[in-house]
Amino acid sequence: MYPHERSLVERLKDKPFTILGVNSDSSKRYKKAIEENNITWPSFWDGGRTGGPIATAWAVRGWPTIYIIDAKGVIRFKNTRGKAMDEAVDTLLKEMEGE
Amino acid sequence: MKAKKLLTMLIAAAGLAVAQPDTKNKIAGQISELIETQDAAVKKFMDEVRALPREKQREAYQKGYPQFDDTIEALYTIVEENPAEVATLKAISWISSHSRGKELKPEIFAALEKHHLDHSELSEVILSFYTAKGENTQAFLATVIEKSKAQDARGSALYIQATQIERDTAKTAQYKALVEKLNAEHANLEVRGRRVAAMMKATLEAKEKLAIGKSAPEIIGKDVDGKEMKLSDYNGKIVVLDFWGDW
Repeated sequence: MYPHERSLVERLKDKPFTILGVNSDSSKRYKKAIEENNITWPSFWDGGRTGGPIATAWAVRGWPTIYIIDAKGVIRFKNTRGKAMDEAVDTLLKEMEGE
Repeated sequence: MKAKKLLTMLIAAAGLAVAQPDTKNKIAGQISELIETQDAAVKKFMDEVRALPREKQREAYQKGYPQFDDTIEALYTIVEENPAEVATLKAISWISSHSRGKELKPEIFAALEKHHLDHSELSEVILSFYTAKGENTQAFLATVIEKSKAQDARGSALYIQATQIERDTAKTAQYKALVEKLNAEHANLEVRGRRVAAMMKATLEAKEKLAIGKSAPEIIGKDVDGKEMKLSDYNGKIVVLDFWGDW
């Protein structure tokens, strides 16, 4: 998970793109994970539990859950991972460039 | 001679009357002992695994997890020998929740239908069908919904029908209908202390709001240092929203 996300962030550092996390760990564990895995992107902290307010509002039942949202704020992909995640993001970037 | 025979019969009858609760307690005792022995083995194993370094836990867990097969067989034997006995419902729930999605034997459904269809404790048995998806399970759930006089058993059967198809995108309409029915007829049904009908409806509504093509609802929250953040701060950017945890 982390190495792939790191490489995606690195590759698209000059593009209108971000990973935005919603983290369900305890604050201690979350801070440790950020340090150990060199996580450079921002995350909401959801209160230290899987039943936190954001995960509940988004009806998240399994972790990780991924939503890809375009520049206009529209949900475009769900649970797209690995290579498919890269392709989805590239598709949305191309859309933006074409407009 | 006649009086003596009558006396013998009376003693036998009295003995029988006493033997029934004894048999019942004996069955309940045998079931509890089997379950407790197995649960204790699992607990002992889990304590041992947790004492290992984190990187070795997974392997130990996969390799040595206590097997349930013998306990399941022993419980089946008791249930099959005493189909009318209410104490066996506990055994049936245990078998079902420890069979890794495999459904109960057909004769157990037959016994449940014949002897326990209207019993209030049938509800707990049905809730143990959480992952069991066989044809006999489906037929039994339909029978309960149609015929059982136990309100919670009918509610649990609808709940299990719904949870089993919740993730099947081809059955969305059917799932919605079940959630509606649960809200209309079983709003008070509690599963593990939670009123599930309203919860399922809220989840369903949330999912509809979060479908592909819909606008992402705003998120206002904080980072781990307490600094306020909003999803809309990232308008104009493509966002991979990642619900994650380091576990």
